[in-house]
Amino acid sequence: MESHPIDCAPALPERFEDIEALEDVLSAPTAQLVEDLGRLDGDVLVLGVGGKMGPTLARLARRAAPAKRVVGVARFTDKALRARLESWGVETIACDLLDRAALAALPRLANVVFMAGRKFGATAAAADTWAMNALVPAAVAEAFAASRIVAFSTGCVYPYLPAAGGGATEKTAPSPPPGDYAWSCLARERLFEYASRRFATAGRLIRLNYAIDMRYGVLHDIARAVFAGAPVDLATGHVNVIWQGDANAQALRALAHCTSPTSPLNVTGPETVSVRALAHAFAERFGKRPRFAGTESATAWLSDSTAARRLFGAPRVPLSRMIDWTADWTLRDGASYDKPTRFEVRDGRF
Amino acid sequence: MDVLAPHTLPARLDDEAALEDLLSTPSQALIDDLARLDGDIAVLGVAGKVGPTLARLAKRAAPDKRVIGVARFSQPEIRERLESWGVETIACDLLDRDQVAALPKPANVVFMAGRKFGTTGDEPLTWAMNVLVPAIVAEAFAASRIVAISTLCVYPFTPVADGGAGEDTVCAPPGEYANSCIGRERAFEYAAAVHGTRGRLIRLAYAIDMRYGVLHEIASRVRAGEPVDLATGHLSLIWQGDAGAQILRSLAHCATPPRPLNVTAPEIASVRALALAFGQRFDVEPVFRNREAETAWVMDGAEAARLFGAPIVSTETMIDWTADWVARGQPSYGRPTRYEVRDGRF
Repeated sequence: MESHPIDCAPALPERFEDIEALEDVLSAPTAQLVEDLGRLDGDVLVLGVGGKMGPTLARLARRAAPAKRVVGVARFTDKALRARLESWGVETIACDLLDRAALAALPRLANVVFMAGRKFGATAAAADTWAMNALVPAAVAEAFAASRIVAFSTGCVYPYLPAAGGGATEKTAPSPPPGDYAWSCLARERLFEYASRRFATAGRLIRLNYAIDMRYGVLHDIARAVFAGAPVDLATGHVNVIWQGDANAQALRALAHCTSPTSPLNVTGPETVSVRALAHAFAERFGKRPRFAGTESATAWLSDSTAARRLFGAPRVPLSRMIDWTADWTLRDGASYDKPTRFEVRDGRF
Repeated sequence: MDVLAPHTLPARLDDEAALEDLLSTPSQALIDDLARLDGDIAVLGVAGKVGPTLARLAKRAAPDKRVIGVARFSQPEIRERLESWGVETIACDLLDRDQVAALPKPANVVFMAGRKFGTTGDEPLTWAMNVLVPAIVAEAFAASRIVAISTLCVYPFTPVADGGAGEDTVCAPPGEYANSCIGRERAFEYAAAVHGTRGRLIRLAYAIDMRYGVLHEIASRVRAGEPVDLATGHLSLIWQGDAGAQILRSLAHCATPPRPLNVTAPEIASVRALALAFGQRFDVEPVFRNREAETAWVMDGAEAARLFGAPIVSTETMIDWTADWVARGQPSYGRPTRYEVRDGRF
């Protein structure tokens, strides 16, 4: 069991000494999260818990609602991850979500957070990408028709919009640029919507733009490039980012804000962030001169998170703090997943 | 006429009965191909515009085979007509896994279900019809050969001067409808990889019937003195009977993984030239608006021509028949193809 009390989100640290400290902060619940999960009936099932965000989301749910069962589902090719989740009090079930018989055998908990998805290698193995991003959601939506379903989607369902325009709102018609990845993500949303209408399932579609962890993410990628003296690609000149802990907290709180039929919600930071400015911010902290490649495009994948801020308030961790943490982590050669976000990709081929 | 051949084609199509008879008259090549094929044939989504004549064509080409037409049959008269042609029918909602699982599983499947119009406004249903139904069908019919009807709309607009998209052109279309059609192909590819299912993905051009289709629309506009929009200046099309025959003959050209096949006439048609051809036959001067874009949804039919030879009905013959049909005020479905749409919104 988790030993930390729910005094919720102590003051933010100046730096993360190590992965344990990082994950502790990532999974520290706020009072609002505790309150929202407190008014929610039933337990929580996290489908696709084995990705980059899933473990801390499941642990966060567990710490916020110790009286609830939190069950994490994934294939668990990484056995160590399963043991870690169990050590946090998260139950685990190994399941291939593409196997509908295995899916049918999962416990039907009242609350589902759907996090499974496939991005990289999307072009090389397009059929597998569509299977993960479209067929699995359809099967999950059918199997969990009686649950609330908060499904992670992505800001990539939107078209590129002018960098100065503040980004897409939930009312902007989804219409991504060509490519199997982004369109299969729109398929995911559409199939959840279809099932939500057919079975009257309540839900939310979380259109996430770039979660920030120390071990991966846009800030990590840019900081590393600057530190190494490698050029920062400016083709994607503007991004939205949000602290992973805030993104996870908002996704869990969205369980208490589901609609029927399901509806999209942009989850990201409040500001449009300049990649060039980020590179300069890191360079200043490193005492280096940044190098750049290309120039900023007039448009980018950007989302307006006004609606989420109305529901949840501003994210707890401001951008400046994320930059400080990332610079410190990079200077001390902290751990990296070595999984680039490829935020600079503009042709839709991942 | 028992066997369709270029020299047996009529000069005109008198009425719907004559049209449907012609559309469902098999060529010797189709008869021979189906004779070599083991097992019966299920046509899933048989109640669309192309399905009834395709099912009838299959039954006439292979009278000893069971041909089973599956659809919801919201219009009962289509069901009665199919039965009258010797096509068995089963009412089934293909979105319902249990109903699909209960269908008979013949060795050969032609998958024709799909949704295009009304996408803008009810996108989720289009995605369910075009991605989820294929996934359900591909799983249920994993042991069958599956020839699935896809569309030229999976391609990007390509330069007309380049001869149209070949099967290896990277799919990158605009809009939810066309991208859901990519999802359909991917769902069949995925299931084939999992189950080893053999299949073929038919990227079909505009099928030409007398009662609907791009020729019907252009002819009707020219005759009415209405402007013909040239923004979509070039088209890929094929006689519906040839399309049906090539789709059925593709059952003999299935493989795993399923590969795409463009089913279209060998030449790209110019909308301006078509309008001028109708104008000549009606003795009216066509009215145009806009100008031809350099790109269009057009594709190259070389591979289909290599497999099946040229279509039996030429574009010139289709123009003659259509002009005659429209001039005599014969029936129209009143269902525009919306071929002029360029933003992908249907």
